Amino acid sequence: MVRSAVVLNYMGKILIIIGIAQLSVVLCALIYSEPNIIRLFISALITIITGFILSRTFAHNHGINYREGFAIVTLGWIAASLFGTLPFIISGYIPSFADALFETVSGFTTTGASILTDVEALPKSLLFWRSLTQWLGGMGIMALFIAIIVGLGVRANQIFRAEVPGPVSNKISPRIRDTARSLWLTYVVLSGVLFLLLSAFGMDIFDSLCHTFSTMATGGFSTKNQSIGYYSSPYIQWTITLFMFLAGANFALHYMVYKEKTISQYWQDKEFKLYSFIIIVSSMITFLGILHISGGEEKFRAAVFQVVSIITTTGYATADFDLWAPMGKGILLLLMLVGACAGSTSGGIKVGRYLIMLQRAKIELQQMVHPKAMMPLRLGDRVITDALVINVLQFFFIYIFIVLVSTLIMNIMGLDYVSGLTAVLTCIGNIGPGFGLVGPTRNFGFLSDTAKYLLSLLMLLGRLEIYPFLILFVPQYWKE
Amino acid sequence: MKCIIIGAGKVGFSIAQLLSTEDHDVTVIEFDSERANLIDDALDVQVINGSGSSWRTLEKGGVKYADMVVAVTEFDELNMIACLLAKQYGVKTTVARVRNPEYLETPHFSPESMLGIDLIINPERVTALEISKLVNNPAALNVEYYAEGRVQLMELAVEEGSFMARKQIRSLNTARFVIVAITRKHKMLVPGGDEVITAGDHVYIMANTAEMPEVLQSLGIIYKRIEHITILGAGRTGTYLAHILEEQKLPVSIKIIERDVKRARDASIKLQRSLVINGDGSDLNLLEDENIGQSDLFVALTNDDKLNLLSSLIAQNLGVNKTIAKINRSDIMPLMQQIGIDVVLSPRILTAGAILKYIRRGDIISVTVLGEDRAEMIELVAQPGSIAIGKELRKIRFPRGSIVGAIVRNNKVIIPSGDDVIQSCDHLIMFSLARSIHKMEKLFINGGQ
Repeated sequence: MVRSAVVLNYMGKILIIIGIAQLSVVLCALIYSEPNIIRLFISALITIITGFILSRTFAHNHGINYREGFAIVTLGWIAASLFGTLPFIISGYIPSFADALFETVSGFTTTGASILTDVEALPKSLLFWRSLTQWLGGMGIMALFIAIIVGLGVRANQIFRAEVPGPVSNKISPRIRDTARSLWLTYVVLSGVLFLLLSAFGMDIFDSLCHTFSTMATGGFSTKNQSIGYYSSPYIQWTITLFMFLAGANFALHYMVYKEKTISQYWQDKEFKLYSFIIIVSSMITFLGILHISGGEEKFRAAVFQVVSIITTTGYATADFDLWAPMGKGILLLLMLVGACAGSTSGGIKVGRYLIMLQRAKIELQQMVHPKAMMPLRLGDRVITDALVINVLQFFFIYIFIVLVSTLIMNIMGLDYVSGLTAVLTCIGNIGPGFGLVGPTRNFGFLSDTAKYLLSLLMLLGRLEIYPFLILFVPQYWKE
Repeated sequence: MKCIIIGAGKVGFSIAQLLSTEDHDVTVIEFDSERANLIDDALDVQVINGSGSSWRTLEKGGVKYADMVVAVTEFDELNMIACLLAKQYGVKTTVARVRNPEYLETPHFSPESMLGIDLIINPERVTALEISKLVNNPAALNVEYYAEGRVQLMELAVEEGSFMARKQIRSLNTARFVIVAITRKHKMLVPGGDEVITAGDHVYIMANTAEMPEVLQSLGIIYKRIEHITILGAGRTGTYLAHILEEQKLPVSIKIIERDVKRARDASIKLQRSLVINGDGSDLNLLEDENIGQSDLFVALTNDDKLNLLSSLIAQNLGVNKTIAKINRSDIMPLMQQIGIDVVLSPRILTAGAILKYIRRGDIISVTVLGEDRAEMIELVAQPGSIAIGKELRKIRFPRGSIVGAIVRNNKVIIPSGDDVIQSCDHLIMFSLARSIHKMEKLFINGGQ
């Protein structure tokens, strides 16, 4: 049974964390002495007070049960998104609720799709809030929550798993709380390094910080209308490429490399190997696909940057890839369906799932030759159970099914096929730009409110990897 | 030497039998009284009815004066505890049979040193290792190595119409090998130069390991590399065998057929490259579907002798060249060979052999039991001052049924003729029938006779 008091109490606690994050926006406004300080302060206050009231009113000392775990994750994310709109609405820069919700969800889910035509018109404080939502959502609001809050008990494990992307998550410490802390620490350290590098290569402090936030989260919000294309420095572009790549790898793996002090950990990981392989091959093909555009290193850099940006579901752009030849665009479209590694900050289906599905396909064919053979599915030295294989295959089916149905709905609302399909793919995959009307130089602002709500829902579905969200719609879930 | 053998099962019985025929004082401790009586009737040994892990029983068996304790009951833990107890009484050599791989597969330290047991022997592993040797030497029915692998002994079957059949040994060019023994109609003999090899014989050929392929060629033995192996039964032996073959990284494809779902699954998880099939090994349809007839080797390793026999015959019928079957009841071993199964292995005899190899060390470097406890290969060092030193081989009075197969001097292998002279510190690899072993040894040990 799901006890609403328990769920509401934890939602309250999550809101307090979001409210404290909003206070940092107030600080930012204070530094740049913006006129909207009071309004931002009010929005932060509303969030914190609501959170405080919820957690006080529904104070309890029960543990969380199995079902409540899912509700806490999903409803927690929804609550964070709803209250995350406040700075945009109250400051008056994004007055429409549908627009503000789209922008906030796009932030927390690290999608990076925007409804803004002119990003640079926003005050610095709101640009900071956009990037901060991505950074918080990247490693996970729940993971942060678990790392900070005491007393979640054994169910923290389940909450953690529901939020960490990928089919299998490795617990790198015996305690889930230490695991969450180690992962967040790795995240913070890598962010720190990126920030220093970007500042060193000539990006100003504010932009460095915002880009660090959205790169490490594989988010894709930029403070510039031209995205990373604004910075012509190859150093900045290569640095961001590298860190998108790192953020797309499993953070548990980064942590193990740091702990064991051997880089060979990377090459022992099948998923990491396949992930790197896909990037290399795709970059080559894309590079060949854009040979007709002039420029040598620049062209190569653009190809690699775009491939890494799309596969890691970041969604930055240095070029208008919508103008590329079909060969280059085809690769990018495929990559939208791939995603990066499990346990990373990226979205999408994930290389790990493809690895399992490819292995399973191979076994299926072999099994036709030897109907009575026993063929366990191996991933490295680990044997994947049938239950997990079914979970992965089913995930793939639901994912594709949702994409197809949503595309149809977008088409019904009048969007052409390419724009509709890529808008859906880019949102459920937490990427950002698509092709056509939602291409890298355009935005989602022109869509109807209904379309924006639908895409916001897809972003949340994609970020939480469907199951924790869909389970709330199973009637038995709410019953005794 | 005084030995205590704990557990008079199949292995215990074999060891007790061999040791007692070699003039050692043997005490057998057996828990089951019926079994104890049976041993008492069959062997010239002292039998004590009781538990080998109890100090009372051990003391009754004279553990205080024993030189060696061999614990081969069916319980791993009992064997280990009996050995630990024996060590406390000051027994010099302890040997335990332990089957559970979990006790043995420790990567960081040897279980022997950890438990204070001198030799831990695992029958399934011994059997699997034996078969893996045959896989690497497809012409042979049996392969043994001596002098750190420099000398090889092979058992070969002589078929009607083959090069060796109906030839006198003298007529073969024996410069590079020695025929140390022949088994004919279940009797083992040491052939002289006049002996005529007949079809159906098994000959034991000893040669320099490096030269063995050429020797086989000169004897007209053609063999094909083994590329496809089918193993029936994914029990411990089958899994060990597949694992050993996988570790060798040879281009061999392995198929394992196992009836039990759980065992099949466990094996499929443990083994990386082998194909595990869940099905009945005596099911003709399955064997045909899986193309077993194309295998170069069929190994039947289930615990059911009858199934091993039956499935080996089916496999032969489907066209498999070579079949190996594991048999628990060693009394029917000769029968199986008559039916046409190429190699029949008894884990009991192999285990007994492996234990004997260990416990007979000392003056002797190694011992191999050939056939069914009728003969042994002995490797020893000719000690300075022993009678044989400085004599030509033809002048030494060897007991009947014994022969020197190879001499290793300064790391060089010499295939001896009658003119070769024994020097001190020569490594000798010799064949001898059981009754002559002691006389044979005395020729080379200082102070003998």
